[in-house]
Amino acid sequence: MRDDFAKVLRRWLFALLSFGLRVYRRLRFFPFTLCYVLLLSALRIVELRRKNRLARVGDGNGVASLSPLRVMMWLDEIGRELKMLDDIGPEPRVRRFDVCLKLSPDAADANLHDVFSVLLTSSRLRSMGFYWDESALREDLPLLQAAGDRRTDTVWSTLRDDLRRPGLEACRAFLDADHQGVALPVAASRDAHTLVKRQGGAAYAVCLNLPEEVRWLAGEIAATRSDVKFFDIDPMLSGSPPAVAANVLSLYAYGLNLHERMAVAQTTDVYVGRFDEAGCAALFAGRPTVLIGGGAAAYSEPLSRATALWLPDPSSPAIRTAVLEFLRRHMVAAAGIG
Amino acid sequence: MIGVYDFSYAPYALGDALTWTMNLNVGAAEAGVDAVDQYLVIDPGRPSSPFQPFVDTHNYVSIIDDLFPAFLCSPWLRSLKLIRHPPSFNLFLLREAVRRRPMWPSLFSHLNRKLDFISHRRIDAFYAKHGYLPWLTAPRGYGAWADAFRRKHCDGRFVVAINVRQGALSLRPANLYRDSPWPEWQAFMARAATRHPEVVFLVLGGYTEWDRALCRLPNVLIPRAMGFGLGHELALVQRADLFMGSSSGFAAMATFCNVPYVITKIQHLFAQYIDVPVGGRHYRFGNENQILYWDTETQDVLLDFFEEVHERLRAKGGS
Repeated sequence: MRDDFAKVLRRWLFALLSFGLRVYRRLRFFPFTLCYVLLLSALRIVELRRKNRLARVGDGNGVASLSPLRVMMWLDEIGRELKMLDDIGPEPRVRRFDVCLKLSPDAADANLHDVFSVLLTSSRLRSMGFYWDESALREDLPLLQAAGDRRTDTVWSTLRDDLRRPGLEACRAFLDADHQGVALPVAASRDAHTLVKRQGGAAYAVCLNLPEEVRWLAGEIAATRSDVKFFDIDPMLSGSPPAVAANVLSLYAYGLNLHERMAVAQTTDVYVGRFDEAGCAALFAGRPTVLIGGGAAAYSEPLSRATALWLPDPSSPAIRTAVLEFLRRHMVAAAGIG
Repeated sequence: MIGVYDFSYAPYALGDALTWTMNLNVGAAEAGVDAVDQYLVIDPGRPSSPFQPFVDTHNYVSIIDDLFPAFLCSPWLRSLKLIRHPPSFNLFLLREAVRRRPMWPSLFSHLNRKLDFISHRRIDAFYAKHGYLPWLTAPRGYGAWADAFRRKHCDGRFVVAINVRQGALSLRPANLYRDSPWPEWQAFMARAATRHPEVVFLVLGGYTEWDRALCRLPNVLIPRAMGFGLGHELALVQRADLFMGSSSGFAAMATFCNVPYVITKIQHLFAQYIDVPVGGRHYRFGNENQILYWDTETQDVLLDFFEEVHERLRAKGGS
C-alpha cells in the first residue's frame, strides 16, 4: 500500500516537473527563468547528496603538455568502468559523467584543441572543465562530486587520476581491454567513408600514420603490397616530405582535423602507425591495428594480440617484417582464404 | 569575472566569440580582477538559437570543435568549462550570483537570454575612460608555437595575415553578400610578390575557403594546408606584422589584439554598433595603422593600403 502510494506520488511529481519544463520552454524570460534556476539547483543538490553524480579529475601533474592520447585512454578507462556498472552495478545507473582537467599554468604546447576534440568524442560526457589554477578547481569540485566520498578503488574515486605518460603495465592493460568506442561527428565519418570509397574502391585499404623515425616504411610496404591502397594521414607537422608511391594517397595538405583523421583510421581495413589518438580510434573500432612507438620508453618487446600488434621500439630492425606479416595475415582472413 | 556563453541564444561565430571575450576582459579590468572563469553551455537536444537553424544535434560537435580555440584568448583565463547539460549549469550560476561576482552577460541579461555580442559599447566606454584596452592574446599555449612558426617558415620576413571572407565556399554558407571578391585579393598578393619580395602572406580560414591558385604564388603560406587549425591561426594573427582581410571573425581577432590591420567591406549596418560613421577610417580605439574600409575592395585599393601601412611600420621599425 505504502509502495503504491510512493509510486503514484513519484509519478505525479514527475508529471508536474515535466509540465514545468514544458512551460519553461515557452517562457524563457525573467522571472520564470529564475524559478527554473532555483528549482534545478535544488534538484542538483539532492543529486549530489544521493551521491549518484560521477565526476573524475585528471591531473597533468605539472607536465607542460597534456597528451591527447593519455586523455583518450583515460576516457576509455572510465567508460569501461561505467559499462561494468551498467552490467552489474547498483541502481541508479550512471548514464553520464563530468571530467575536470588540471593543466599546468605554464602550458606551452599547442595541443589543447586536440585534448578538447578527444573529450568531445565521449557521448556520455556531460561536462568538461579545464583548470589552470588549483583554487578554481577546488571551488568547483563540491558542485560536481559528492562530499566526503572516497571510494578509491572504484569509478567513484574522488582521488585525482594521474594523466602523465602511462607506464608499460597501463599500456598493456589498455591493449587488452574491451574498449567502449568513440562517437565521432557524423560529418567526419561520412567524409571518411566517401573518401575511402572513392579512392580505394574495392581494394584493401590501409591507414598509415607512421612516426618520423619509420617514414621510410611507407615506401617499402607500398612497393611490396601493390594490391593495397594506402591512406597516409600523417599531418606532417614535423615537416618531413610525404611518401610518394602510386598506391599511397597522402592526405597531407588535405587539412584534416583530428576527428577527420580518426574517422579515416576507423574506416580503412587496417591501421599501421603511431600509438596516438588515430591509432586508438582504429583499435576502438575493432580494426586490425599495428601501433608503433609510444607507450613506455624502456620497453621494446613487441606485444601481440588477436587484432592488435604493438611495436614499442620504432628502431627495431624487425619492424618491416612484422608489419608485412601482420598485413598478410589479416588480408588473408578478410578474403576468407585462411 | 564570470563569462557565460550560452549557445541557446549566443551564436556559433568566431567574431562574436572574440567580441564576447573582449567584453569579458573589459569587465574584468573594470572590476579590478585578474581571473576569468568561462562557461560554455550547450543543450545537445537544441544546440543553437533560432537564428542558426543549421546547427543541430548531429553537427554541433563539429561546429563547437572548430570554434573552441576562440575561447582561449583571454590572458586572465583561469578555467573554462563546457557544459552539455544546461540544468547542471544552474548550480554554478546560482553560486556565482550569490557570491556577486561580476558577470558577462549580467545575470539579468542571461535570465532573459540576451547578449550584446556585436557592439563595442562597453569597449569604447572603457577606452574613453582609461585610455587603454585589455587586449586579447594568442590562444592559451599557442603563442610560443606561433613564434616558432615565424622563425621556421617566415625567416625574418614581413608577415601579413590574410583572411578573405568566402562564405559561399564554407561548409555552412550564410550571408553571402558579405563575401569579398577573391580575384582582387589574389591579384593583390601576386602584385605584392613582385614589388615586395620580402613579404610573406599567411592565408587563414577554413580549408574549403581559399582558391587552389594560391598554391602557385611564391609568397603565400596556408597554415590549414600544413595541418594546423584555428588555434594556430589566431596565434599567427596575434604575432603577425599586419592583418588584412574582410570584416569577419579573423578581423575581430586583429581588432582586439592590437596588431596593425586593414579591414575591408565593413557592413554599413555595423556603424551603429561600433559608433563610427560609415566611411570612418578608424575604430574609436584604433591608431593610424588600424584602418577600416567600408566599400568592396579592389586590388589597387589593397595595394595602396598595404604599401601605406608597410612603409610606416618599416620606418618605425628602422627608426
